[in-house]
Amino acid sequence: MTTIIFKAIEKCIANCVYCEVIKRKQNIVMSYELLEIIFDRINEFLEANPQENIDFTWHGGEITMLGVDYFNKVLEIQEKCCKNTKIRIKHLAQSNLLKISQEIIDVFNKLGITSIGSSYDPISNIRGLGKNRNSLKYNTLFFHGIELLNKNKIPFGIINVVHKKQLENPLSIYYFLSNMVDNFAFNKVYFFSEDRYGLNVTQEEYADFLGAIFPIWLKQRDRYHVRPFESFYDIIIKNKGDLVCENAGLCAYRWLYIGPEGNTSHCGRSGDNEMLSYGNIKKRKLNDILHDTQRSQIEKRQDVLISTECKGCRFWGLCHGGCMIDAYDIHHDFIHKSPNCEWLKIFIEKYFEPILNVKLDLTSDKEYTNLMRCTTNKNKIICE
Amino acid sequence: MANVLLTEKCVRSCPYCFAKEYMTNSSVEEILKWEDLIYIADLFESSNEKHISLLGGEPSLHPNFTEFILYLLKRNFHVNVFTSGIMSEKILLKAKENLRTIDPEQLSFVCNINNPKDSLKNEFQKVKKFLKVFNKQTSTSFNIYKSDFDLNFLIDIIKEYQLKPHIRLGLAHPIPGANNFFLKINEFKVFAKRLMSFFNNLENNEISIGLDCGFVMCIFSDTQLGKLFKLTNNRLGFSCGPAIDFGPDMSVWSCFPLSNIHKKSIYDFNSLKEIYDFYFNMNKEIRGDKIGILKKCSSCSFNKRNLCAGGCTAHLVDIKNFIV
Amino acid sequence: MDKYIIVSPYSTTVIDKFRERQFVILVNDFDNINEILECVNRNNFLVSIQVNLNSSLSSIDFNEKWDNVPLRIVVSDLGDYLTFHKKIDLIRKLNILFYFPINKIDNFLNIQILSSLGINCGFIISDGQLLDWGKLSELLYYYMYSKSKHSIIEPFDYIIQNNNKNDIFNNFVDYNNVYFNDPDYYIHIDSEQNISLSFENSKRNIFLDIGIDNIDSAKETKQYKNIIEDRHKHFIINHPCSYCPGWRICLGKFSYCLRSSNGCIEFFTELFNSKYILNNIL
Repeated sequence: MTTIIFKAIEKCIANCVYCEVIKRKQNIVMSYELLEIIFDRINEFLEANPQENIDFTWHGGEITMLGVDYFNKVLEIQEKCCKNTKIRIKHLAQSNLLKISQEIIDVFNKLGITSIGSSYDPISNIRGLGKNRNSLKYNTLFFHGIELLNKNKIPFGIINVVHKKQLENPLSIYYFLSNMVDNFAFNKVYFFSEDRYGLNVTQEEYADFLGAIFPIWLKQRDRYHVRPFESFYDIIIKNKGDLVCENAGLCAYRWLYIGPEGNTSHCGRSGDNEMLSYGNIKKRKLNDILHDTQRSQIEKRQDVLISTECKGCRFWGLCHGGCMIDAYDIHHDFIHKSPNCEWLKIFIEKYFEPILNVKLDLTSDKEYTNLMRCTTNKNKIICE
Repeated sequence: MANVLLTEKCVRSCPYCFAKEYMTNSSVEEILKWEDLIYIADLFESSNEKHISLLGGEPSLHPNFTEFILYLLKRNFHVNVFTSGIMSEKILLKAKENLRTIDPEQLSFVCNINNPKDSLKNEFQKVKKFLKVFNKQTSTSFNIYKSDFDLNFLIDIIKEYQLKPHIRLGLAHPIPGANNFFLKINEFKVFAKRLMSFFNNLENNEISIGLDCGFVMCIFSDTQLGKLFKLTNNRLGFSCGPAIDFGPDMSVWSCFPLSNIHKKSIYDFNSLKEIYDFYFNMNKEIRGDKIGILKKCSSCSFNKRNLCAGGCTAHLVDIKNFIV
Repeated sequence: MDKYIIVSPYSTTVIDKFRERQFVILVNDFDNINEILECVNRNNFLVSIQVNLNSSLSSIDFNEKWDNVPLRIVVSDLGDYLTFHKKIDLIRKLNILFYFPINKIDNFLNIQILSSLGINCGFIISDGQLLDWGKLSELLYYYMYSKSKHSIIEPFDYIIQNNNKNDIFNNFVDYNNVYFNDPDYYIHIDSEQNISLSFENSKRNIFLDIGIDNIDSAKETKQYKNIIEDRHKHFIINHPCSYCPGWRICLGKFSYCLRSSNGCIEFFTELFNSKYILNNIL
């Protein structure tokens, strides 16, 4: 399966502190002509690769600003270009919900969008409207959106970006989010550019934030699906489950970013930060982009890391060196581990293992069964 | 069957009172609360115990005496009330109006009657009024604390008021650390002889007796035991074990003579069985190497066969060894 | 959604306007109990008759002819126990749930007595009432952890039943449902055929601008949308209630209490976590 992060628009109604996209201030909307080229390319790729499917993730900017007519046009183009392959294209949507309407929901339904990913921040003036980030207005519109999704029985999930102002009371953040929704995720804030408001958090701070919440989530895990807890729990305790893209180590040939002017890159993060260009889709076939020679370097990264920087690391199976974009930001080279593996290590060692009384040994990729169950003796873990 | 104290207040001050020490150490103002009665009833019900004994002090002094009985009956308990029968006109009237017609299989009273010679006249008049109202539900109880006791007066009362033809005989026991009247070990033989002197009168009037805990088998001869077998309706026993009493403050203890030792909170236990097991083991611990109250208990085959417990544990307590 | 359940005073005019509807009938006495049952069930279905009394439970003359009538009776208190006791056997045969206002402290005990005797009951919290959270917690502990079987105590029963469901679109519990006061399920029609979404709205003359023939369109009205939006107001303004672990059950109903005590937080958190306690997950 291939995942396309599709940005037909970079414009957004909101002005969130940590958003990298809006800093670019690009007001371009993808033309219908370009849309047609893209769906032609997709059709061509799917016809040539009958075993393949595509996850087509609508990302922004804010996709609802494209309007109903735009999505109706997308339907029309898809129908025209992908008559026989459209069944293998799964549309997904990421929206801040501020401008979602019944009409948009109806057209999303036609596109087969059955769930929506969104973001929220309980702290005032982090996400907001206008120069001063008016969060009252933002929140009012957001909850109106949520009500519309509920009415239409469309599930949604929330990403909460953990920043400095959230560190004071992690449980409050958890309760706030869990009062809103059953499915949410914590992502560490990351600034590729300047941290103007001092919102960055250290690896240890983020691990401690998660650690404060983890025991509560553990009791409530049948009710709330919360990343990264759930994926760690499933993999470590249940021996099943998926990791997010940055930890899965599987992105080399599976991800693609397409920007509003047809420019392509590896993923949303690389596209937003103008790293790793695979050229313009107007000029290249999808298959060629997905097999760009630069991707072999990403694939090679796994082999290099496991024998160098990550050699013998017992967390490898959970992290796989982390996101290469993070590594590039530091080293200007992809073949390094992400600095974000630190919070993961701290969280697992300081909280996950003692609380669940387990000890990890995930030094290779066949190792989920190597997990040792331990007994506790005077707060020390003794492994069998 | 465990016992629940509704109140610690009492209208009498009997010299032998096995509860006196407990009462003295407690706040007499303490009465069992409704919420606590419900808790106790729940505990009994979940422990499959359908019998509750209510006692005091004098249980009828509890302001909700009648209500509590009715409540327990409505929860299908068999309620047995230990009373002196001494109650005010008002309390008696309330009880009469609400309890008199209840099936004796569901509600019974055990009226502890002292010899009128040793009681105030006014007290005995009140007892008589009680017996007149509740005769069909009431059997009698008599506590023995001296060897020259009398049962004939009780036989007359049973006949006069047509009470249930049964006398519960209690033996006053020493209370470790206290100074109450009780029957000394060296008086046991005399006591036995005295008890058997009432045999003909009891048998002629078809009145049975029941021996409460702490009697010792060997104070009776084989002939006396044969007579006792008849008098007790084939239910002759010489036991000593936890009675289990619940105080109005939700404390729990093994039995009144041992109420000073290992008193616990009801909330420390999850079932009556847990409570019983705890105090059964405590009794064993108190007895230690001592099998019974008499020297010969240690070689007694009846003790080994669990036919006689060897008297009341309270006789064996070295009070210094136990937490009061 | 199923059709609205109509909450209305006894009015044959209102009842006869509908077919195959569920009704809750509000009365203040027992004069017409069987007549109401017959009238409603002629073409509709009787969910319950709610009898609002200002008197004690023990003063009610129960009638064995009510055995087929689902009754909710709001009483002031239990009254004389001995009088009540004589009526227990008959009460047990009838289909009654008694509500007690807990602005009277004795009613905490009365609820416990009734529940332990196998009689369904519940409590009512008056608007703006400052609650004794300790007493309410004791009642909750009795309800949840009692060693013995007992009858339901509303709204605990409703909350615990519904707190267990995993419905992502309806992931909170509005216990006003047990009081027929949940705008998602109940619609109120007064004797003049005014339509409203709650007892409070009805009292304050806040009526829906829809006709009696059109009650199922209530969810399209501004008032309904306002109520739904109100559920989010705490989040929008970052009110402390939105951070409360017990919010999914209280829904901010006691935000007015926060100035004087945090008791509601502890209480509703306990109630919310009862799922895990009862399932031995903790």
